[in-house]
Amino acid sequence: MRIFSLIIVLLIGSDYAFSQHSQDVLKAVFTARFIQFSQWENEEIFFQKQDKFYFYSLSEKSINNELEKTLSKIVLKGKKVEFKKISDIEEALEANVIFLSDDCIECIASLINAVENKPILIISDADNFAEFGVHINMYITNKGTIGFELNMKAFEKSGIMPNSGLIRMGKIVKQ
Amino acid sequence: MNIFSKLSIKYKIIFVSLIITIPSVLISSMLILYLNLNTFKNEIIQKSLTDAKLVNELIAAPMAFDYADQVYQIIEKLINQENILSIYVLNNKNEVISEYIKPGTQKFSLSLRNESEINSYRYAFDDINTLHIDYTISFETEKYGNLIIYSDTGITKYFWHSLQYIIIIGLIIGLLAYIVISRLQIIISAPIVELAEISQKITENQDYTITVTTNSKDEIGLLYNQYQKMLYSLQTKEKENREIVDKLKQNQQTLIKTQAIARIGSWERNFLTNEIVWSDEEYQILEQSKHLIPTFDAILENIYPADKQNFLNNWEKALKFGAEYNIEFRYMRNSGIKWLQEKAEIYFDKNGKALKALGYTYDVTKRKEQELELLKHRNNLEELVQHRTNEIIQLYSDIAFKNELLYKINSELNSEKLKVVEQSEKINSVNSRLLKKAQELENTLGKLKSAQSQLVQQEKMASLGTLTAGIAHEINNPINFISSNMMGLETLLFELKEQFDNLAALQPENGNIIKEINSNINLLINNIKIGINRTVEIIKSLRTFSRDSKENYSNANINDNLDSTLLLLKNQYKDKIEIIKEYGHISPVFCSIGQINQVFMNLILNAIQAITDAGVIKIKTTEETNFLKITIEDSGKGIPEDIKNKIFEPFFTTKEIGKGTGLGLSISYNIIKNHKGEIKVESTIGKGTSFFVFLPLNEKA
Repeated sequence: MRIFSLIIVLLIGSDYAFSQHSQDVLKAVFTARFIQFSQWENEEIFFQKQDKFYFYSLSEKSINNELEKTLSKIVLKGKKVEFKKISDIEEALEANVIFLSDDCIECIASLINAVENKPILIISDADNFAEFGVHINMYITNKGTIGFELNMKAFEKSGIMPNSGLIRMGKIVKQ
Repeated sequence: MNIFSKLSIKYKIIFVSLIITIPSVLISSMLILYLNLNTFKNEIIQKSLTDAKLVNELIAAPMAFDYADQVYQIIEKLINQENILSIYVLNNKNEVISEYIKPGTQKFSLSLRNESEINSYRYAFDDINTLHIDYTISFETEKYGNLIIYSDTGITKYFWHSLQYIIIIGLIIGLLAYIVISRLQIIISAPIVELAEISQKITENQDYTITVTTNSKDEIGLLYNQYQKMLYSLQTKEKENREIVDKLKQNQQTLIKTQAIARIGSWERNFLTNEIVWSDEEYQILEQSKHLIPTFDAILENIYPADKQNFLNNWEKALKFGAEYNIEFRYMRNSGIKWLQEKAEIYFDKNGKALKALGYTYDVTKRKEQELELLKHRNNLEELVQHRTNEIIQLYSDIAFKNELLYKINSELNSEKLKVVEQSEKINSVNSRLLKKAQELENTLGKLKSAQSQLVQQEKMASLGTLTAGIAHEINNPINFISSNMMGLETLLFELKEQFDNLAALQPENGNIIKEINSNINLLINNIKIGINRTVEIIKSLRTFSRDSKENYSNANINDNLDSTLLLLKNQYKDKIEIIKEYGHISPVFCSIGQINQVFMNLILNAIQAITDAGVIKIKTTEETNFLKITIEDSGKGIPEDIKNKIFEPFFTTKEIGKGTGLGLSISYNIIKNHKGEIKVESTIGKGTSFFVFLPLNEKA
């Protein structure tokens, strides 16, 4: 379905008709923006204790490259970003942000359970992940653009607040 | 300046007030307009900046995610605002992402872009009515583009609008000022005009009774009040003047009349004009026609020739040397010679030159005649007086001699009398002192007898106390010894009795004797035990009698103690004796409650025992100065006079032998004495006995 949409988008020659690579680039940029537009509880004090901003990915997909590239260029919450590819959920507990793709479907339940009520933002690009407890999930809209959905319950539990702009632009899901 | 001075107060006030008011209104209006324009301008800037900031905050997220639709939706919200002319949203590449241009408005140049970094803005006025704001769109540390807003400030419109208001308000203020000033000048000038008119009226009619009134409390009111005061003052002065003139006229009339009655004429002689003025009476005295113009010569020619020179000398002395002009002379007219007296006061200038003389003329003819007559009588009288004086002197010398004799006799008598009185007084004084001394001696003797009796009684009681205490102590040990041995003896005798019983069984012929012996032994033992118990009881009482311990002292309500004692003795008196209680409101007494109870027990028990058939016991408590008095009064047989003094002695009893120890009252006496109190008795045979117990109040151990 996604490929089909992509093909259609490419065929109609839209501005947003992009390749997997372009999609990954855009998603990486969106991911960075999501972090920017999310606020941790007592953010300044919280990140003062850390040397770096820890961004861990449980995904095995190609987006990891774009994420690493994009995030290495910017500063998030006043800290340089350390990108790390992980496979162990225990490791995920040390992160500030965890990125998931649809290949993490087997571990999502145990991950959500492990990070519940902890100030860890989970961003994904897999169908229905938001309903399952992921904070922000990206998807391709009918127009071929990137849309995103927010799980407000998950935000509430983790003590992280999305910017009003995010709430206005994103789609709110029910858990 | 001349023109201004010619103007009336009315026009002066109007002119000055308008000169001040109009420029003031103009200047303040301009100032207000200027300040309002500035405020309006600042408000427009602030409002536009607030709008821009708000849009910026909303637009940052869509810009970050490149959501152009969202961007337009946000700027669309600003379009509704009237003053917005156009809005442009540019990304970091200076490409217009979204724009709004109000219909009929030109597209503005975007050359004034704000190139600065995040969170900054610039604003400028392209012209007076166009404000141009350039706001950077950023979130945290990242810039996403620029927001450019052109808005219509409406300053020109506001200026003309405000100016219209100012002109209208200025005109209204000017008009109001004119009306107020016109009214004000009426308030100020009208009273002045009124006062001027009243003044004219007063001047014309010489009428000072006119009154001016006003309700005003200001300066005008003050002016009116002062004017009214001035009128009152003038009115009073005028009245006073009129009264003075009337009084003067009256005085003049009175003077004329008085002069006529006294026949005194007055005159004035002016030495500068040689003019002489006579009063009406002067004409009468001098017997001159009223048509005559008075001259010095007119008098001189009528003076008795022998007195003329003296008359002229008198004038000369008065005018030259300032001597008093006072002269009596004879004056000749148709009626004959009359004696006149003239007296004058002469007034001189600084150089001693006589100015005028004021004087009077008095017809002293009658007085002169009387004086001559009096002189004659005086001479006769002097002769008579001399004669009588001689006679009196003779008489006086006789009386003086006799008087001296009488005085001597009287003084001798007085001296004798004084001596007698003195002796009498001395005798009286000695007599009275002797009587007083005799009375005092009698009183002292009575007191001494009483004190001696009390001392003897107290001494006796004290000796008896000591004696009984010693006896008790001495007897106590042997009686204890007897008592303890008696117990042993009793055991042995009991065993012996058993042996006797056994013996009686063995020897029936001696059974009766043995039984009798046993019976006698029992009787003897019982008697001995009774005796021991009684002795122990007496010793106990004796020890109580002699004990004086302050232990167990506390504050006690004596009424309660009496009730407790009565309750204990109820079986003794019920059915035969009526108890009457008359308890007063009494203070607590510091005492040994147990000992005091014992006193009450003794006294009430005695009272009960004193009543053989039926009777009354009255118990009364009263508080006296420093003492509490307890009276226990019975209607018993009474105490015979010969034993009354012995009742407090130890072992004294009237009861049958064995019924009383004879220590009850002695113990009571001692207890009360130890409490620093007193116990007294009054008794009448056949009527009853009263015991009075006095306990000190406020007594602390």
